[in-house]
Amino acid sequence: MAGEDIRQLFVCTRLWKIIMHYAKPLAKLVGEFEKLPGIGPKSAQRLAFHILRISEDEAKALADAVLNVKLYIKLCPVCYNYTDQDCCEICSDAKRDRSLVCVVSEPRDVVAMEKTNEFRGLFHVLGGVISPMDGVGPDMLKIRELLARVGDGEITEVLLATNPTIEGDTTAMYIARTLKERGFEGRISRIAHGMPVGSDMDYADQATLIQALQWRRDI
Amino acid sequence: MGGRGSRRATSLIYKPNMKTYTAGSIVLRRIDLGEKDRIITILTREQGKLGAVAKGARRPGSKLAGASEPFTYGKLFLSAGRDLDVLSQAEIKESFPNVKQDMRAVAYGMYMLELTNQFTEERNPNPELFDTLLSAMYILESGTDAEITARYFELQFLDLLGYDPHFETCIRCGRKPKQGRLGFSPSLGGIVCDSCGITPSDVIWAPDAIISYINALRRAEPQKLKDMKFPRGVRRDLANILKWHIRYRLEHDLKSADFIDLIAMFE
Ligand SMILES: [Zn+2]
Ligand SMILES: [Zn+2]
Repeated sequence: MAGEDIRQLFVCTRLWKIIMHYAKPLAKLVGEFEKLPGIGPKSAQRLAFHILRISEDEAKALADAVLNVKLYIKLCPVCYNYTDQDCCEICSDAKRDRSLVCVVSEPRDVVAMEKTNEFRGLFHVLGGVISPMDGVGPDMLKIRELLARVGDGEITEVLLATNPTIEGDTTAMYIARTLKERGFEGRISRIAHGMPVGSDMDYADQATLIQALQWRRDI
Repeated sequence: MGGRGSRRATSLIYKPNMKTYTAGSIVLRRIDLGEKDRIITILTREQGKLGAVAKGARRPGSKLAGASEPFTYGKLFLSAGRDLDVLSQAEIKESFPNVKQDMRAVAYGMYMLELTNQFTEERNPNPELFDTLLSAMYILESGTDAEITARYFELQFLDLLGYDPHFETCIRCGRKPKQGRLGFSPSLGGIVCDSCGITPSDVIWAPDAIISYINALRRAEPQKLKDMKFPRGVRRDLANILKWHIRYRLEHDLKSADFIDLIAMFE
């Protein structure tokens, strides 16, 4: 972003004089914000100027938060959800039902399910869905890891809670088929009722999701 | 979409109301846009292939959610945009529920959509091609073997685009090939016989019995496809020949073919 453009946004000349020296760092910050999803050039400028106005402590807190996410958040080695511990809180919670595992595509779907307060089992995050046209195959998801988990014998029901889209359904069908092929004798169910075709799970309201849980069907 | 675009939109150039129209459409592809929206690639009978934005399509309860799913036939209400048209309303004509409950049918269905998407240009209408794809989708929905449906579609589709592989006679000398095996050259786009010169380096060998299957498939009435039985070897050879034929024309493979190969292990 050119200095000229920034100047146009700054009608206050006194502030402009201060910013002059920092034009390059400011331009850099605007550029970084622009890379974020859903942020256009205008929003990027607005955010950058907001950062200029906040205190140094607040700015440092933000910078630390960004950095700490990169430093300390990793994938739980059991369920592949995000965690800052060796094993995530859900997986290490002794009160959860370890015989039931809910398979979701993204970490944000875990959040959606947890909000219902209805589900007491464990999770398995695939990290996406099978999308043949995009070249996303089963080997690019945590399906092999799921099979290994189920193979341990503790799990008696696998609930497939991928989105009710063509890719989500295909992923569920593929996992169900693979589990049966491997001799899994427990229940394989699919979250179904109340979820409109083509929608995203994490946008479903709680009532819909609770209903979807209760009405799960065998697949 | 972003800020730079909106600057242009607020210019002083006089614009009449956005042109709105309805189109019978097949959704070929969709990608997520931002938090709630989708961009879909559709094949319309009247306007050919085009891109459209389906705003809010990922929210449950959105009337556009189901209609923006790939492998869906619908009547779409669109308004012309600068780059992408905007989908305002949709009426689903057929969502092909049987296909979507059958992994193998989905795999071949996606393959047909990708083939169509890769071979067509935007806004170059071809009503016959649209009808051919839609028919193949209905054939798949009726429970016809997915692989046979896909091969049937491929042959018709390539024919319509002028890329039909030549199987009847040797592409060089015009003679019927001798009994036994035949060679198919993807670069020449047809079969070549042993007796008319140097064999092209890209030739794929197959038993000549494959020709009768191809001819039967080409001439088949859609309702007869259900009764057709192709031996495993014929299926494999035909798939291989068409794969190389398409690869030579597209200069790359279709991504959805990998998933078909993968789920073959369940058969
Ligand atoms: Zn975990
Ligand atoms: Zn010849």
